[in-house]
Order: sequence, then structure tokens, then C-alpha cells
Amino acid sequence: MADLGTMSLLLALALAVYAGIGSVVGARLGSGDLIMSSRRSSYMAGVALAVAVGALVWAFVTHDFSIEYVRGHSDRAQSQAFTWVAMYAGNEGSLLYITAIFTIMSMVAIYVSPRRLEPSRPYIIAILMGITVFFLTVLVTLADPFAPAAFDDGRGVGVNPLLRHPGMFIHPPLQMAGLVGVAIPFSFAAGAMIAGQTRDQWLDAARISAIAVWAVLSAGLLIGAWWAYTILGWGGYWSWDPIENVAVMPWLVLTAFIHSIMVQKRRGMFRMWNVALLSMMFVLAQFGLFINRGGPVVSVHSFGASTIGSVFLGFMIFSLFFALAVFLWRAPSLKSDRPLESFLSREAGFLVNNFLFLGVTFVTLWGVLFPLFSEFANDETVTVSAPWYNQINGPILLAIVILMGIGPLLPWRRTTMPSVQRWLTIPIAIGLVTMALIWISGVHEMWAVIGFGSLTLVMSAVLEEWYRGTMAQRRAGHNFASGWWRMVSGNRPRHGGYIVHIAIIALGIGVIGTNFFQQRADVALAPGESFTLDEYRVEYVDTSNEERVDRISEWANVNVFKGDEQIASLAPWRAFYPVFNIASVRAAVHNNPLVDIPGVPHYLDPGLEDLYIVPSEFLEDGRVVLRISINPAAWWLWVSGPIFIIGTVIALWPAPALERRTVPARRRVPSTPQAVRSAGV
Amino acid sequence: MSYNVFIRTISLTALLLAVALPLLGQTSAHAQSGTDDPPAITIGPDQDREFEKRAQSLETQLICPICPGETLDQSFVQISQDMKRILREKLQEGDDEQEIKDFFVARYGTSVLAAPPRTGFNLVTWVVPPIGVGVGIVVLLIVMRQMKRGSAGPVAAGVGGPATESELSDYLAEVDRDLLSDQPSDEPGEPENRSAGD
Repeated sequence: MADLGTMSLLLALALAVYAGIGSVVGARLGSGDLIMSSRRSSYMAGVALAVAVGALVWAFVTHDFSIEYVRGHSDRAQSQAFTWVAMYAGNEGSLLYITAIFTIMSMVAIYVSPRRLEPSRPYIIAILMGITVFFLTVLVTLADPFAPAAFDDGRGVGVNPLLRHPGMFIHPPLQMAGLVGVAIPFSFAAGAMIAGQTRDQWLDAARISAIAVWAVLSAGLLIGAWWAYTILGWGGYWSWDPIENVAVMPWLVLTAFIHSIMVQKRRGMFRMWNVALLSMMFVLAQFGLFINRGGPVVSVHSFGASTIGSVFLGFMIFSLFFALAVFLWRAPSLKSDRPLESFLSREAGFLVNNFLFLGVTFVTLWGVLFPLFSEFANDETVTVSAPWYNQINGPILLAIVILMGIGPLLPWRRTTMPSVQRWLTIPIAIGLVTMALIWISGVHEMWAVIGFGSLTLVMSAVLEEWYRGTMAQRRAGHNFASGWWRMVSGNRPRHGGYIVHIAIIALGIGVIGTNFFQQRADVALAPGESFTLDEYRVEYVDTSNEERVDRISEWANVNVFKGDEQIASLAPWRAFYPVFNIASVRAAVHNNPLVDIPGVPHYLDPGLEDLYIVPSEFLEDGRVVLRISINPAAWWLWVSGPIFIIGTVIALWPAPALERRTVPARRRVPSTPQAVRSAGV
Repeated sequence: MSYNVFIRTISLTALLLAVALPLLGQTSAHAQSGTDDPPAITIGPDQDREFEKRAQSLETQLICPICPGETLDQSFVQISQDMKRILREKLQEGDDEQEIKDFFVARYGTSVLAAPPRTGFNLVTWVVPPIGVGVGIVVLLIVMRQMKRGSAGPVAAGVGGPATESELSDYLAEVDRDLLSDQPSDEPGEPENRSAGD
């Protein structure tokens, strides 16, 4: 298997080099044949990499410990399921995964790229394959996943215990695919720039691929948060760790981009700015790779001190100069078609949106870099962690939420204050009434109250518009449901976007709830003793344990009472892995539902608060140390995931060809301004 | 505010609060954590909530010295358990937050603080973001003013490609836009829209 893997890697390298050089030479010489053959060999590079991944996975599944990487990241004791995904548990394998998934995504991107990008395609292929060649060179020279083991004792070291979690099947692949995927919209734009197709020919390709990558990245981040919540044992899900930060920065810029690209699509403005955003995002993703692979910061996530960090730093600097050169070269031909007509317009709203997202990005980057500055300039090690980020980024994020309520109500081009007021009166009134009611009900955390009020503002703005749109459809003779659906399908990008905004609202409820209202206690209990936190009484019953080759597992069996009624029996788990000298925990989470739906598992009921229990230590004297916490609204964090996938799918779903070509909105739904209104973006 | 608007405000608020309020009512109705059944507590005595709150807030502001970037509340290794105990003892003795932080800084260095202090060189951490955002706002306003004046000027035809291609695509883009603008405004807030909710 090792030979097959190595050969596939070398073959992929040769194909990618040929594809990259051949397509450019073909474009210069005007040789369609050469371009076509380059294009096909870029596909074959993807196939060869898929074979290499297959070889490594197979080596894991069959416990081929003659390969060093397999020996170092698996053993016979771990469950068979995890051997299928162990390939990305370490530096070399994850790099192989990144290379393969990137090349396969590139393959799809090149394959579906629109015909109007024909002149740019060779350059797009060249940029994509250039990145593949870089990764492959690192793989072949510095991080060979197929290198033979120094010795083969028939046993592996095993995989890091923190990675033995269902999240392992889905978080790393999505996260890594999303982070390398940002290169695809960038390549569309940069390739078009190089070919001189500066008049928006690249727009749809970049926009659609950006939204797709954004969805993958968002899902990756959210699932990562859920994983952290259940396994890190402190009831949190996001700690502004450097690796989390470098993953979220490209996401932030990408989010800015998928908003501002709408302005270019609709109004022919912000061209320069959008290319600049894509370039920033691409360079930030490279920065993330560098920090991740042996960068100079400490983190729970990093792959340990590997020597290849400097190579990634070099590639990042190269990317920066490349993007900058392309941008400066073509900037003169990226002028806007028309001026900004008013500060009170959706264009201006999107500009402010971009400004705020870049603000969060800048703050986050500064937080990651400051400890390094401090060490060089002041010779003092400092930590920049959650309290700092919460204080600085919190207000900007709040501003984003408020803008999310106002911005969509602003029309393109210009509007007048009275018409803005007409649309904003109800949402703002609802927001203020909500704040007042929350305050009266006894919650006096100012920021939480403002936050909840702002979220209600956004929600009511969306509902207001949906209400009006649906009522218009109703007058045309549809019922509520089909009226709503007709309105949505009349303008999928817009209403898909609203659904994503609703997902953000759910996320916001969870973030505010857990940040401001969490309660926790660390207690040591002897069997039979109990502890009361808020209205829950947690009684420790006993411990059960199990010894395996690789770990010693212990469960703390607890009963949970609310009043006199027992509401749950839970068994949070802790295991010690002697080989790694690491303990891993799995929290027991009881969701106390807001609405108990009969016949539905309790964790699917709309959530009020999580009772979260982790055994942090089993003491010699038979007592157990439990971390008990109440995490209000944590359920809303996870429910945002499905909502936001639905929204993205609706936004991306292609309109039927007929609609796209001829825009016969007026004929389809006669006489209702609302229906027509919702036909554009 | 017209009657219609009023009614809609009230009903929407009610709808939203139906979801939000029970959630908040719960979080706000926190009684004291029970002391009726006093267990052995590892970390500090659980006298009153206020005390625990202060202690826990300190836990989030201090870093475990041996774990990569984890605050005390996130970490369960021996040293951070000890630190949690020490900070509670000190709180009990009447030390204030700053004194306790200073104590740990003297022991483990500045990096034990989860956020750099707002003094000396470290003040830079705190002032750069607001300055950056401030400068950003100024730049944003200048750019927006310029865009508004239409400084973009006529489209630079012919740059970066044969003039014909560029002009043609301009023309096609114009046609596209005309096609789109053929429909009445699709915006909320246009005065012409007879408000559908009426």
C-alpha cells in the first residue's frame, strides 16, 4: 500500500505540474488542444490523489504498521470505525487529505466553470494546480505519510484520545475542506484578472463557489464547537484559541464577500473591493495553515512543533505578493459602473457590513499576533485570551447583529428617511419592548438585554417582510404556506439569506445564554451524597469501570432530581490513556426542554437549558469530583446548524432556466407588487 | 403610530416573547445554590453565590500555567485546581481581585493573565483595536463620499483587453440590467409599494 500511495503522489505531482504549465503555455500559444489536455490532467491529478488517500485509509484499516504514520496514529485496540478516519489525525495524513480534497474540489470547479470564463480557464487551472503542486511538494519531500516505520512491532501507538469522538468523522474533513476551499473563489477571480476578463465574467462562479465553501466552513466550525462542548469538559465551545481564530478569520472575510458580491452583481459596483476581499481571504487561509503547521503560537489544536512551518510561511508570503500583483495590475479596469447614490441605501449598508466584518477580523488578527510582538519588542510573554476578545469583539458583533436587522430593509440605490421609518418602526418597537420586558422580568445583565433586544429586532424585521410578502400572495389566492413558499422561491438568494439570518439569531440566543447565565460548581461527592445547583439536585450513586488495553474507563453514575421528581440518570465518563498520559472526558448533557414534545428524544425538544455534568477526577477515597453546570440556551447553538443549511441550500438552489433568462416575473404572478418585488435579488 | 402598526407590534412581540421569555424567566429566577445538603466541596466552601461568582470570574481571568492557553475554569490539572483553591482562600481573607492577580503574576509572570494588563507596553493591545476601528470609520466615510460624488467616472474601456470585447460586455451588462430593471422595484420601503399588510 505504501508503494501505491507514494507512486500516486508522484504521479499526481507530475500531472499537476503538467496541467499548470501546460494550460498557461497553451493559452499563450493559443493551443486549444494543449489547454484541453492540461485540463484533463488536472482531473487525473485529483484521481491520483484520491487513490493515495485510499491507500492510506486502507493501510489504517488493515493495521499496516510498517508505515510510520499508521504506526504513530492508530493501534489495534481502537474501534474499527475510527481506523477509517484516522488518516487525518496527524500532520502528514491531514496534509494529504487537504491536498486531495482541494484538488478534487478544484476538479469540480474547473469542470463546472461557465463557458464565458473560457479565456480565463487556463489561468484558473494554473493557479489551482500551483497550489496543489505546493502541497504535493511538501508531502513528497517533508511530510511523507507513506514513509516506512523504523521498526514494526505489530502494535501501533494509537490515536490521540481527544480525537476519539463522533465529531472526528465530520469536523476535521469539513473544516479543512472549507479552509483550503477559499482558494477556489479566489482562483476564479484571479484567473479572470490575469486573462483580462475584468467585466464580471467571474462573478457568478466566484459567488456560488464562495457560498458553497462558506457553508462547508460554517458547518465545520459549528460541529467543532459541539465537539469541544462535549469533550473538553468545561462546558464551553469557543475559547478564542489561536487555531480557532485563524480558522474563523477567512470565514469572516468570506462572509463579508458573499454580502458585498451582491452589490457587484446587482449594481456593478465594488469590483475592486471584491477582488481585494478574495485576496485577503486567500492570504488569511494561508496564514491559518502556517499557524496550524508548526506556527509560533501555543494551542490545544496544533499539530505539534513540526519543521514545515517556515515552508508555509514562505508560501503565504508568496501568495500575498501574487494576489497583490494581480490586483494592482488590474485595479484600473475594475472601476465601478456608477456612483453610490445615497448613504441610505443597501449598497451603503453592505459597505458598513464589510467594514464591521473586517473590523472583527482585524481585532482577531491583532489578538493572535500581539503575544509575538510582545515577545520581540518587550521581551515579555503575555496571553491574549477570551476575556480580551469578548471585550473588544463583543461590541462589533453586536453592531453586526443590529445591522442585520436594518440592512435588508434598505432598498438599492436610495431611499428616504420616512420610508425607512415605516419599515423600521415595528422591528425597533418590538426590540425595545422586548428589552424592557426582559429587564422587568429581573435580568439585569445590560449587554445580554441589549443583545436579546437586537436579536428580536432582526427576527421581527424578517417576519415583517415575510408577513407582507405572504399576505400579497394570499390576495392572489394562495394559502399561508404556499404563499410563503411562492414568495421564497420568487427570490431564493434573498430569502435563503433571511433563513441564514434566523440561524444566526438562534446562534446568538445560545451565545448570550451560555455566556451571561451559565452557572457552575466543582464539587467532590461521596457515594450517596448530593449537591444542589439552582433547581437541580445531583446525587452521586456509584462508579462503574472497565479496563481495556489502551484505557481505563470510569463512569460516575448520578441521578438528577428536580424537586422530588427524578428527571434523569446520567453516566458521564472519564477515561485515562496510559500511553498518552491523557485523560479524556465525555460530558453527560441533560437538556431540560422548553417544550416537551411527546415521543421525541429530549435532546430534540426546543431547549431551555442544559444540565451538564463531567467527572473531572476520581479520588482515592471513593469520592468523585464533578463539574456541574447549567448552560442556558445551549441547545439553540446546535439547532442553528440545520436552519442555516436549509437557508444556504435555498439560496444556492438554481432558479429554473426560464426564469433566469427572461425574468417574466410579471407574467407569472400578475398584479401583486409584492410578488414582483420579490422576484429580483 | 397607526392602530395597525400598534396591533402588529403587539402580536409580533407576543409571538417572539412566547419563545424568549420562558427561557429568560428560568435564567433569571435563580435561587441561591442549595446549601440544605452540604457536600464536601473541593474548591472552596460554597457559602454564598456572590462569593462563588467572584471566584469563578477570577478563574476565567487566569491562565493555567502548564496548559496551552486554557483558563483555570477550563482546566482540571492539579496546578489549576490548586490555584482555584488559593484564589478562594485569598478572596476569603479579603484580598481584592487586583491583589490576587498580582500575587499570581509575581509567581508565574504576566502570561498567567488571560488578558494583558492595561499598563505600560501592554496598553498597546487594548488601544490598537479602537484606533484601528476609528481610522477605519474615517476611511469608510471618505470612501463613501468619494463614491457618492461619482469619482468612478466613465468606465475605463479597453483596459485589460481588446476594446471591442470590453465595450461589448459593457453593452451586454447594460442590457442585462435593463432587463432586470424592467420590473418594478423589488425593494421594501419604496414609497410606491402599497403596503401589503394593510
